[in-house]
Amino acid sequence: MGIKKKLYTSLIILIFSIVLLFPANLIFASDASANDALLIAQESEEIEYFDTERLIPYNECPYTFIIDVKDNFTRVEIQHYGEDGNRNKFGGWKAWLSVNGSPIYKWQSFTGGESRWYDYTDNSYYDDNPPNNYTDITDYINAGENTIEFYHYTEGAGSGIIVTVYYGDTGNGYSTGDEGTYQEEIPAEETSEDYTTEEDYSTLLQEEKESSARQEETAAVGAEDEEKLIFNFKSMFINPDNPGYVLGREIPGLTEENLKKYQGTILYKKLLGPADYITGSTSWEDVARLAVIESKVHYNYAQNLGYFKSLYNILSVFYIVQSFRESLQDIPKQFNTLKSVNSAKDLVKNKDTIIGLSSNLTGIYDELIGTDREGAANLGFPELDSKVMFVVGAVTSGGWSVLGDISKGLFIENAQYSINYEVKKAVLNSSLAYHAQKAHELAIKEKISSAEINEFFFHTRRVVTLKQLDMLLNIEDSISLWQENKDLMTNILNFFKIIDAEAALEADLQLYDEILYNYGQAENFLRSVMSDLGLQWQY
Amino acid sequence: MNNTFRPKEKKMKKILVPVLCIVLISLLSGLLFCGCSSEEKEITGEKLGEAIKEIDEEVKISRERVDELEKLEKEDFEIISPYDILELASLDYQYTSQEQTSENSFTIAADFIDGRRIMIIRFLNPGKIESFYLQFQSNLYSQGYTFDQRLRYSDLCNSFISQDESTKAYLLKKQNYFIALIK
Repeated sequence: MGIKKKLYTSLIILIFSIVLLFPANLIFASDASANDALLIAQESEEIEYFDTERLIPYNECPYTFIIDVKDNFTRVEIQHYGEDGNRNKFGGWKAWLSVNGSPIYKWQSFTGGESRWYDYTDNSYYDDNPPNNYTDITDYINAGENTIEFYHYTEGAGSGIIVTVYYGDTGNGYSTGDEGTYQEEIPAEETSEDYTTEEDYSTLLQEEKESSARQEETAAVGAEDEEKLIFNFKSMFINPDNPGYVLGREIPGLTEENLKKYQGTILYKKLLGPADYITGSTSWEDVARLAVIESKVHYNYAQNLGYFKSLYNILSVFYIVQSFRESLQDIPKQFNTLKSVNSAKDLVKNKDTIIGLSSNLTGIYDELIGTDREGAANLGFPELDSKVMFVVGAVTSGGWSVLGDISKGLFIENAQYSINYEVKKAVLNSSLAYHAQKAHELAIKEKISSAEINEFFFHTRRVVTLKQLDMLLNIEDSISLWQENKDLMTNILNFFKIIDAEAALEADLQLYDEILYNYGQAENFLRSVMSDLGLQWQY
Repeated sequence: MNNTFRPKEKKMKKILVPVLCIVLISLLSGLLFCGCSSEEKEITGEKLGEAIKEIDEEVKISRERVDELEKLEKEDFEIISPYDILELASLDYQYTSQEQTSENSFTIAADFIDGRRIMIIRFLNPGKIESFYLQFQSNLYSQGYTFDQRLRYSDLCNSFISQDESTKAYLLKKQNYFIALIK
């Protein structure tokens, strides 16, 4: 036993030694290899170019460009080029660019025949003739993969990106010849051990002082940025005077003027009706309130028009012996709870009911579709309804879902009868009201933290997504009846003296295209604002 | 050394064995409980339909009497033709009519001399009428007609009023028929 104990003790010591020494070995090894690489690069003074090798048109934006940078880089510059091949610092109308999620520059405005730009790397404003035709992005680049995101909205062929990476040497101004900028840079790797004389030490002390002064300056700029950030945030949502605000009439390109040509069509009425979001909202609270009203209209309509009676017929006639989850019996309770909600505040308390109802309805649709796809579609349960209801549930619960599946193409080409239209609209608007109310609660805060700003955008993004889906449902309502019953619908609408219904449908489709485009723009706008504020788009 | 450890080991065993037994029993009962709860109960479509019907039963039903629909109420639409239905709904007023056949339906539209109008649509696919009836109502609402009330006739009967309130439309769903009556 004594020998065994000794053996065990020795073994434990050995294991500890290995554990302790192993990382140290790794560190030394990596330092050595880094130094070797640096040496080789210094000797070779290598320059590497990353080029999109084509112009990026606006409809491909935001465009993601990934570059793989070796670890001994010393300087990185980014430029744009157009059809003429000339290189520029900025990339086009309403352009912005970010590197690894950090904003680099952003188009601000167009006044006096000149664009105005903000460069985040030096916190400066520039016109169309900046002193350099490149931006130094060295501080934003890491060894390995780097993601560059670029957006612009310029007609024509677009704009390309070229990134120049210098290894081992700071380069001599391939881009501009502006050597002064390079001389100001302090090599990052210097330590006190590199200074051997008293003079060197005093240089180091001086540089340390300068460095700490720079840090203080950065902190001041940080505080200023924070104020600017909160100011931007406050003024942006929702201020009808701001041309970019997301849910107002001034969704980029969507003006009352340009809607007039669609007067009389269904969508026009929906957009400009007295209680619609587009004309009605001047705050997020308004958006939430109106969405609650909209949801109540649709809950009542679903009930009054006979949705549940039809559902009863379908389930107890066509699917009489089919098995369903017992928990689906909660639907009446969930429906009545949401129908009787009278304010957005109350709705927020019922978030789980929204999720529960959408999940239960998805359950029914899935069961019917799974049992007999064609039969279910004939009864008004197209496959898409399950996806739509699933998206609403996912978006409400805070998850992110694949709205791409619920695309315009799916609706226009495969729009089918749907028995679930009113209930889809109802639950969707409950979800929308929930997110708008949450956005409102954050927007009215006197002091708001970065985390809360992030949360605010979390909710507004979902509002925009749900509004897009809402538009898709409106058009589905118009066209799906037509697609399968064109003759019958022509007859019946003539019977109701709804004349020129086909022309109205055409106009609806055209308007629908514009609206979807504009919501796309709104989303891009929101994305650029988030990028401005240093927030990540994907969350 | 060994002798001093043995009683302790025994003591340990005495404690460990019951503790382990308790842990095992808890784990087993936990698993059993989880198994039971994860095995969610199922119900038939009929039972689910009954539960959902409760929502519909809350809709207030109007006692309004509509003569044309009264006449149709007693008839079995499986055994009479669309023209029989038209004849019953005419209330002996003269009318002009036209018929149309499409892939999924057969339609007769008629104008009575007293200004009433009727459209009788017979769906060839029994499932289609459920969704058509509902979706058409939603569409009608978008076209400016607002829901008025639920009436007591047949499977489902709702009335709508036009925007200028000059027209009242009754939409009836009975068996495979969709009937629109405008007064």
